[in-house]
Amino acid sequence: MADPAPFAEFAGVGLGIDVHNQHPDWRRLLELRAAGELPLDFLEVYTRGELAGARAVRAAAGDLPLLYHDDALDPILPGGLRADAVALAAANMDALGAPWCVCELATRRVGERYLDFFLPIVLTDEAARVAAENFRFLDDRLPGRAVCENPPYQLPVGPRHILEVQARVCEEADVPCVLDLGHLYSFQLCRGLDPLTGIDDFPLERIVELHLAGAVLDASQGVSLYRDAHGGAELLPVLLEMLAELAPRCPSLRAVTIEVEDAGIERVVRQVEATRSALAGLLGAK
Amino acid sequence: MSLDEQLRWIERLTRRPADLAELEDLAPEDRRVLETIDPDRLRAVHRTQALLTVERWWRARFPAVLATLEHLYGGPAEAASRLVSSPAFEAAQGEDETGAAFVGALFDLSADPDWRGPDWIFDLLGYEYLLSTGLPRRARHEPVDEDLEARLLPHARWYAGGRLRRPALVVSFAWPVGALATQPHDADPDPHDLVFLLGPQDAVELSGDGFADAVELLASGANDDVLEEGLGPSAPTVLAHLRAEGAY
Ligand SMILES: [Fe+2]
Repeated sequence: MADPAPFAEFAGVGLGIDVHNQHPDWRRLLELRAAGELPLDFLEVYTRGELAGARAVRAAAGDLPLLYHDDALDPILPGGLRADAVALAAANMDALGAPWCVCELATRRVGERYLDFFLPIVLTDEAARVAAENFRFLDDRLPGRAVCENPPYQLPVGPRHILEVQARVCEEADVPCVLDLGHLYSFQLCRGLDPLTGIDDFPLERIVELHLAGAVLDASQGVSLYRDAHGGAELLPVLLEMLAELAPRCPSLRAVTIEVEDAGIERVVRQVEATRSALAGLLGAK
Repeated sequence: MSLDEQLRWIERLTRRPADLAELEDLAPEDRRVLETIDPDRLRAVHRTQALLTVERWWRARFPAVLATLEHLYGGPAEAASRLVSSPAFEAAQGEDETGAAFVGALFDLSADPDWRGPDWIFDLLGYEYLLSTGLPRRARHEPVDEDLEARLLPHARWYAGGRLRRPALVVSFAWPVGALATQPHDADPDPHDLVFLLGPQDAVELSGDGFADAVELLASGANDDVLEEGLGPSAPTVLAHLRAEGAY
């Protein structure tokens, strides 16, 4: 059963891992934590729906709190969520004891077709309304909260700003949110805006979690494209600046997650250090 | 335009940025949202994603055909762009597990009046398709696209039963596909049969005179005398090889 207790207050800095990925090997991360070599306050687990993976992490993690990240719910599609995907997300949350499930405002499907790339939410009021309906439905059926994350952008479509759309989804569905700082930066790049444009009008009290991940900026095609590489690249310095400025302004912040799939252990250690030092004030108060 | 239609348009435009011009044909209220697309950014995303899709879905399975297309079109970006732009792309199952999108794209590209691809490319495609997709999927009891195979390998013959213990596929190629798969450039015609024996995990490829005839005779239940007579002097070597592979 989901246990919100560890996240009743700010829990600290954790890592987003994929149980199917050996880089980094999540068991090794737990060993380093046990040896006192890696400060780790929680894990956010991506299982691709596989329950055995969720159970294995829960069994090995001891008292370490766990969150769940799902990418098969496709919550921006009209026509409602698939019952099997919702049931699988619920089962994974139960297996992990996760108090919430993070789900991006994006889809991996159009019609019956699987896409090779995430398609992020269209930036319109109609798309926000559809996603809000889906999130409300999801939030009612999960053993914990459904938490809505802003997706990465290379090609925004629609007149609105992603923060306007995400705010509308959260408020209409009455759900908390994750702000992925890299994804936000990717959007601002597309529109030629400053990294935190729009944040002053955003309901910051909805933010329970912030995400950071490595990325590469690719200008080889004549426009600046943000490539979300997770552990496959370093954290852009601008993300740490965004984090230092924003984290103290989020009154409900419970977790800061570095998504490290594909990183080597050394990079993980380095990214945790950099993130913790950007959050020194909050962590000191904890 | 409904949200569902908008998503379909965005997906299609990302694969086929030239279709952006078709927005002109829509009623103003229908194109209002899609008109916010930045054409330069669309083309950049198209090129980037096309290259990634080629790497993720096809590079390991169709290396020589891809190298041929990249040479033909003057580079990986142009080849990738044409592959994902093909109408056949929509036939992809998952990450094009059946090969329908890739093989279909080759048929589409070759139908262009300006097509300058080498004569041997469909032999090479059939060969790479069998090794990477058709045969492994059969061995794993996964469905294959039968219509696609009939079109790509019209002269393939399956044999089973009789004295054969493993299903066997005989394919007649007009070009030296084994050599082309290693080095896809100029080649002289080389009509030959290849035999593929299907196993529990994968398939074994046999090339050389006599294997196709032997497989056909074994499937018909021919006894040793008939086999020896049918295969002539090569009979002992061919049969020993087939026995070693567990074919009969
Ligand atoms: Fe994220």
